[in-house]
Amino acid sequence: MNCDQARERMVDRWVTGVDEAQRIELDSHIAACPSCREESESLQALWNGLGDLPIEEPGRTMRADFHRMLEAYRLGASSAGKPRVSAWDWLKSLWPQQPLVQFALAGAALVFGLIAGHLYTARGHDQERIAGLTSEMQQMRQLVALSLLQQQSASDRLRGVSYSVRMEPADEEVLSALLSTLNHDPNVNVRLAAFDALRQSASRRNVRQGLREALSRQDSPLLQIALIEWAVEANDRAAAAALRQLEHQPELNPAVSVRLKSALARLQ
Amino acid sequence: MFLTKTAFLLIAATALWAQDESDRVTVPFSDPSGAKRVTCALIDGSITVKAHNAKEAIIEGKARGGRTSRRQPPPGMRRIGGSSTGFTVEESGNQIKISAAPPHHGADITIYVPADTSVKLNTVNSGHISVEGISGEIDVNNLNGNITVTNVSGAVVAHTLNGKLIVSLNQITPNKAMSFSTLNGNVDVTLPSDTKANLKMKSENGDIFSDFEITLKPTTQPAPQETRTSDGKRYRVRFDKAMYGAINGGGPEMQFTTLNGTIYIRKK
Repeated sequence: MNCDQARERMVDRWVTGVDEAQRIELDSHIAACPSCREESESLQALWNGLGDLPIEEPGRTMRADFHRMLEAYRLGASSAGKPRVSAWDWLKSLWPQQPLVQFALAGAALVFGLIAGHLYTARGHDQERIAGLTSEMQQMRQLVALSLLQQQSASDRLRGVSYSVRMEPADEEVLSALLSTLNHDPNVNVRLAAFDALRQSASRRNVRQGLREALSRQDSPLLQIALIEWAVEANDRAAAAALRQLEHQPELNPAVSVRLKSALARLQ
Repeated sequence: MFLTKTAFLLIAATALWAQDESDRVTVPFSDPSGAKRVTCALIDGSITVKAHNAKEAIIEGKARGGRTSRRQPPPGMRRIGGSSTGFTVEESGNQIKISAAPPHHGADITIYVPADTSVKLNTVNSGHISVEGISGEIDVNNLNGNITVTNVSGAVVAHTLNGKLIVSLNQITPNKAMSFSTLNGNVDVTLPSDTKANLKMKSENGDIFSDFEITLKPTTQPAPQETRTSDGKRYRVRFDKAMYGAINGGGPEMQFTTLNGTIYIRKK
């Protein structure tokens, strides 16, 4: 046993105690080593000295002091009444204590944030998208109207005419298709519908011109009358020449002649 | 598939018609299960279309009392030829085309077709058009006779100038436009009670009657326009004398036009 080990054992002997073999080994080392013996003796003296320290008696005032403090605390607690709650505490109380609810709230906040963010950024694109869709729709209508106007079935061609009426603003290509329908469609009913559609765009120069030309081309009294009425109501003086030409058409229906005469009188 | 089978039948049936004043020809459709169409255009004569339970069409022509065909052959002789009445019946792409090469003395034609056949019929003088029991697109045009379309389904587009127009539909094809017009005759149309349509009705000098609940639309046309004649006499005209309305919430366009007739829109 060296000196370091012996010093450790010395402390252990006083505090926790050591077994018999270690005590003999320690004693023999202390007997042989003068520095360790000196250390051991001083420790022994200290240990014994600690045992001799007097036990301090509590002062006589101590009990009274304690009771006074206790009383003061009780008074203070009761005068405060209900415990005061700060705004922060109140906010904290709103926060649910259960972790599951906390997670749910956090998740809901995340989803809300995502949606709100998406909506906010999407709003800007919406205008463009609507504009794009509107022009696509217009093109679709044009295609549908033009293809319907070419159908074999009169009912489909009628549908083509009502499709083209819905186009706003009226499409040039569709208007010229309608003018061709007015002049060349074999069905009177389809031609009548085309006339009604064109009449709504009669403020356009080319449509007016087309309607004037149609006056000399139509052989159906219903259309002749409709065109004569239009010329009178629109007060289209340029149509007078076409009306006079119509007057010379052989086998003019009597109902048409009557209207033609009165129309020519009005347009003079 | 369509054009592979093309039947071409020229019935220079003058002699036959002259003998018993009636002829009958059976024409098969190249695709009996496909969409079938019959067109018939006459100058003088009536056209009757009826449905029958067979896959082919039967065309029956009956010569009218023309001067030549009525003349009896001298005793001991028979007619070999002479009158130039010629009907052409042609089948191509599931479409049967019946035409009469003028001049002829007029003949009445009866066509028996499978119920699901669309027809396009035109006649000009001294004939009525009658269509019964078929289902499809019915396009009929007359000039001086009546049009009677009864017990049919599908869509009808009809026009006659000086005759009555009577149409009765059992069922209509959704989203098909229809149009009915006359100059001097009544327009009498019966529709299923659940028909959804936007109506445009115009009778210059007649009345409009209906037992449908028609929701009339305020006219979208410009306000009455004021014009002056050359002698300073004032008169007012309106841009459009048509009335617009919807039945059962509105739907495809249906046009009813007449100048001097009365419009009846009946509920079936």
